[in-house]
Amino acid sequence: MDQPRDVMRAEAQSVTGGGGASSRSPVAAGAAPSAAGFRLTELADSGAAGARGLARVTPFLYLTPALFTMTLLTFIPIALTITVAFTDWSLANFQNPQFIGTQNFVDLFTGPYAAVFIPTFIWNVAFAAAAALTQYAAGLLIALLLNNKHMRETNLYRGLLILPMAIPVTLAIVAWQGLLQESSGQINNLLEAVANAIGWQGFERIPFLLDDNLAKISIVLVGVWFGFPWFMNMCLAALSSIPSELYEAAHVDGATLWQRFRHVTAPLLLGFTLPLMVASFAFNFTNFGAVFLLTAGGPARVDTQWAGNTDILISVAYKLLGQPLYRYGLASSMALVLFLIVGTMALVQIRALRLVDDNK
Amino acid sequence: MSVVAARRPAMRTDERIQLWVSRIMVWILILIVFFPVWGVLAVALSPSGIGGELIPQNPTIDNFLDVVTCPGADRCVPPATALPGGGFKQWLGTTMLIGAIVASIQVFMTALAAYAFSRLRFWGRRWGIAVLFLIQSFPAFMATPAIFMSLVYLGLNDTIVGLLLIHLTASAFWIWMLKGFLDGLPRELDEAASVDGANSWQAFRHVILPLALPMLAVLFLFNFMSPFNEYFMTSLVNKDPQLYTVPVGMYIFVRGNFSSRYGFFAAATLLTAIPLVLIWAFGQRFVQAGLTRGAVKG
Repeated sequence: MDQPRDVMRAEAQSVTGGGGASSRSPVAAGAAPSAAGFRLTELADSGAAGARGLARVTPFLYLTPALFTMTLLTFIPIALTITVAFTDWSLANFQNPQFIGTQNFVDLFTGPYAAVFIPTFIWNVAFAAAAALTQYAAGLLIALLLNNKHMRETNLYRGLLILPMAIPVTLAIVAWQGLLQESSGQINNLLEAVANAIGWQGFERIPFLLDDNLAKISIVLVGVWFGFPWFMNMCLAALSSIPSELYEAAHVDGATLWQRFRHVTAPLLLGFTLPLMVASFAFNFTNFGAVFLLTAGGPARVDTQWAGNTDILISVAYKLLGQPLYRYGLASSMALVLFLIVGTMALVQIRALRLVDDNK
Repeated sequence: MSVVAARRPAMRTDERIQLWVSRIMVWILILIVFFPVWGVLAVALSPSGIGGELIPQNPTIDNFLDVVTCPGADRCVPPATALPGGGFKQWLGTTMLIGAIVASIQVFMTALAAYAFSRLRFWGRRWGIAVLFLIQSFPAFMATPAIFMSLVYLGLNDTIVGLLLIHLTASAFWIWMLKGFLDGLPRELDEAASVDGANSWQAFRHVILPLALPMLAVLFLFNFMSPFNEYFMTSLVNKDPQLYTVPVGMYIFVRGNFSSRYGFFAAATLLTAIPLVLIWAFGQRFVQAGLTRGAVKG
C-alpha cells in the first residue's frame, strides 16, 4: 500500500524469519533509528539485550485479559457442553452419567424426538430467514430515505429511530406481550379505534399470540421493531461511503430514481449486505429471547408437549433442560447441532468480512 | 461540505419532491415505531388493574409513584409492598453498577487485544480473530448450565462477582470491529511515537487510545446495556434478592400476575428506558462515527 508499511513488512519478515540477526540487533540495542527512519513497534519495547524474548511475549501480554475471559467463560463451558452431548446425563441418572456415543443424535433425528425436532427445525429456518430479510429491508428503506443531502434534520430522525436499541430487550418484549393481548392489548385498541372511525362494523379483536400463524407473524414483526435500527445504522454507514459524484453523474445521464438505486446504490451495497444478512440469520437462528419471552413457544401443539408452534430449537432445548426430565445430555446434543449450522454461517462471515487478515 | 452548504444551490424540482416524499414517509415510520411506546405509557398512566386504554380516561401517576417509592413508603399497598429485594431503585442501581463495571473492563480488554491484532506481530495473528469468532458462534446460551456449575464450584453464585463474570467474555466480533478502526488510523503516528522512544504500551496509551475514543464509546454503550438485556443467565446465577437486576426483579414481580401488574411493569419499563435513551441520544454520534469507520473500510 504505502511505502512505510512495505518497509515495516520487510523488517518484520526478517525478524520473524530469524535470518536477519545482524539487521535486528542494532535496533534492539536501542541505537539510532534505522536508515529508513522506522522502527518496529514491538522492538521499541526492548532497548536492552535479552529483550528479544520480551518482544516475543509482549503481544500475548496484550491478549491475556481477553484470552483469559474467553477461556474461562466460553471455551471451557463449550467443551463441557460438547462432552455432555455424548452422555445420558439427566435427572434419572444424575449421579452416574454414562457415555452413550452418538445415541442422543440418533434420538434427535429418528427417535421419538424426531417429531419434535424436524417441524421445529423447518420453522426455525423460516423464522431466521424472515427475520433477517424483514429487518434488513426495513433498515435499508429508512437508510435510503434518510440518506438525502437536502434533508438537514436527518440526525434528529436518526436519534429518534434508534429508540428500540436503547430499551432493554427483556423488558420491551414483555411489554410487547401486553400490547399484543387480544382483550386488552393496545394494538387491538388502535385497530378497533380505526375500525370505528371508518365505520367498519365487522371488526373483531385479533388473537395475535393465540393463533398459530398470527403468533409466527407477530414474532417476526416484533423482531423488525427491535432489529431495524442496527441495520439502519449499518446501511447509513455504507451509503455514506458512496461518493455523491456518482449520483450527480447518473442524474446528468438522465437516470431515474429507480435506475440510480439499481445501478449505483445496489451494486455498491451488495458486498456489504451479505455478511450483515448472514450475521442476522445466525443471530436470529438462536434468538431465544425473541421467542420465549413473547410466546413461551406457544400456542401449544397437539401432538407433542415438547414444542409449541413458535418454538425454535434453542427454546426446545431449554425446555428439555428443565422439569420434569432434565435431559441435559439430549439438550446438549441439540446445542451441538445448532453449532454446526451457526458455525457454517460463521465461516461464510469470516470469508465475506475477511476476518482472516490477508493484509500482511 | 461547509463550502457547499454556504452556497446552498437551489434544489431541482425532482429533488424537492423526493425530499418531501421522504420526509412524510419518515414521519409515518417514526409514528409507527413510537406507537408501542405510547401504548405502554397509556397503560402506565391507567389506574392499576386496568388493562389499558388508547387514551387513558382517568390518568394517574400512581404506577410511577409505586415504582419509585415502594416497597418502603406508606402509600404502598399489596402487591407493591411485596416487591423483592429493595424494589425498583435498588434493581436499577445494581444493574447500572454492573453495566458500568462490565463496560469498563470490556473496553479495556478489547482495546488491548485489538491493538495487538492491529499493530503487533505474533504467532496466530492472521487467523486468531477468525478462529475465536468461529468458536464463539457456539450458541452461548446452551453453555449456561456449564457456566452455572462452574460458578457454583467456585462458590461465586449469588455474588456480585458471579453476576459480573457472566458478562465479561471478550467478544471476537468487537475485537475485530475495533481492529478495523485501528487499522484505519495512520501508522505514522505510533511509528513517530516509537521513534521518540515510546514503547508499545506508551504508544498504545497516549497515541492509539485517545484516537480510538469514538469506537471505545460505542463499545462501552453496547456492553453497558448487557445486564439490562440479560435475564435467563442472571436469574440462574443469582437467587439473592438484594442483587436482583432490573429484568430479574421485574420478571419475578409480574410473573403469574401479568394482567394485574402490567401497569407497574409499564411504568418501570419507561423509567428504566429514560436514562438509557438519554445515554444513547448522547452516544449516537459516536455510534455513527465508530460504526462507519469500523465496519466499512476504505
